[in-house]
Amino acid sequence: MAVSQFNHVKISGIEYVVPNNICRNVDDYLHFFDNNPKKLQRAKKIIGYGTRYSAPEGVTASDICEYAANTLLSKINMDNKSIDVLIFVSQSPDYFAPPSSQVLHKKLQLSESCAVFDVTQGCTGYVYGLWLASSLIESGAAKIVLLCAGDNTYIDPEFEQKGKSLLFSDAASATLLEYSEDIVKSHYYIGSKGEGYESIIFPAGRNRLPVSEKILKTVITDKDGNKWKLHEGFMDGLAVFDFTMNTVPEHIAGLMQSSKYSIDDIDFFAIHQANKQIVKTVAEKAGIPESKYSVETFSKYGNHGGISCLSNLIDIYADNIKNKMQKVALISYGTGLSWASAVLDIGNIYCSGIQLTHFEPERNHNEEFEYWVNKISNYSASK
Amino acid sequence: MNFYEKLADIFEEDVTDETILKDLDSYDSLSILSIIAMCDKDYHITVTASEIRALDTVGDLKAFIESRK
Repeated sequence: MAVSQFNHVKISGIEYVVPNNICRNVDDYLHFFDNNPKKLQRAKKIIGYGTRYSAPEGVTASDICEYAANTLLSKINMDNKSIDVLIFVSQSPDYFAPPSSQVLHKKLQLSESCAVFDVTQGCTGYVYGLWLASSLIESGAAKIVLLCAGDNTYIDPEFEQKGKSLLFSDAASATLLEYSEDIVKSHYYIGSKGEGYESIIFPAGRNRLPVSEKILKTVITDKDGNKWKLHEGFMDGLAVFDFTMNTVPEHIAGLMQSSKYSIDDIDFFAIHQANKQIVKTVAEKAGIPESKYSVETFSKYGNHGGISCLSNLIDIYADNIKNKMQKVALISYGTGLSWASAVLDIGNIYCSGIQLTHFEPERNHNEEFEYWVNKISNYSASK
Repeated sequence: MNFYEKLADIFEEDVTDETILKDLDSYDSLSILSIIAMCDKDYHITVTASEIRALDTVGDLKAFIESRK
């Protein structure tokens, strides 16, 4: 069990950005519910479907992170060159190689003495990122760490799926962590259940099963009538629900026990917004009173993948952490299957709430294609 | 609410012990999810989706919950 306690790491600011170029509302997706308004209303009531936002074609999680990081650093008057380490946490990197953190290193004009790396982590990504950043700072390896975390889901307009279109939404964030002489406590509690790795998976697209014409053409219909493509991801919803119901409340109890805090000591629990029913059931089972958690963010913004506990904190609790020190628990669980949670002393920081922002792509997919064809066809090492 | 009223609320139609779960219009992943949540909240038992899916009738569900209490 990875249990860690840090005493000298403070969060100085958080910028949270949602691209609002494309806005989807569940009411426009009656066809996903057999064109039956009653079924749609029932799903809204149980799951909490609502509004979802997407970036335009050609804008990626790293682009949104770039914007979030530049905004954050200028608001807190931090020189980009003073960043010691940049960590990019995402399941949607720009390329196989290089890491997107290198792309961000260029775009953010960071110092050449800055170390950068990517972390491919799913729903627990943000807490993993904080944990890594804190380890580097507490050990003395770095003084200032910029954590960029976010996900964007590419939705093929020719192949819309209920899960992708209505559960997930795009967002990215930038968080600055610094060494603090004064004591600032943070506690982390992390675990894994690799046994469940097939429950949320993209079976094709990487080395195990590379994308081929056959993969692109194959549409698989499950027994419930849902359609899937191997490179666009598969989720065994009920297995994930079983996992969250059985493991996550125990995990929250473990976080409380290992940190020696009680639920009463925590001002707010920011719970990964998987869906309304899951968050509600997990919180009730863990004994968290209704006044200390919220399921609203899922309806307003959807599931933001690796930063979906941060979205809840910023959406519901930004004003509180802006003005005073608070004890906040971040609870995340999902892909892996994994769980990662933290209790943080956080407060008096720069945090301006969720920023809905319009993005313009540098190049759309077709232009990106042309860019690389031109670049490589004009390349020569000898002529 | 008693057991049958709770199920009527989940399925949005009245049920009896003889009702076959899979024949209900709204028997789907959402209702299984709601049953699991109900078991947890109202009967303080943890059940899995596959255990619920293996049951035939409302009466079987009632007996199953009793056996786990």
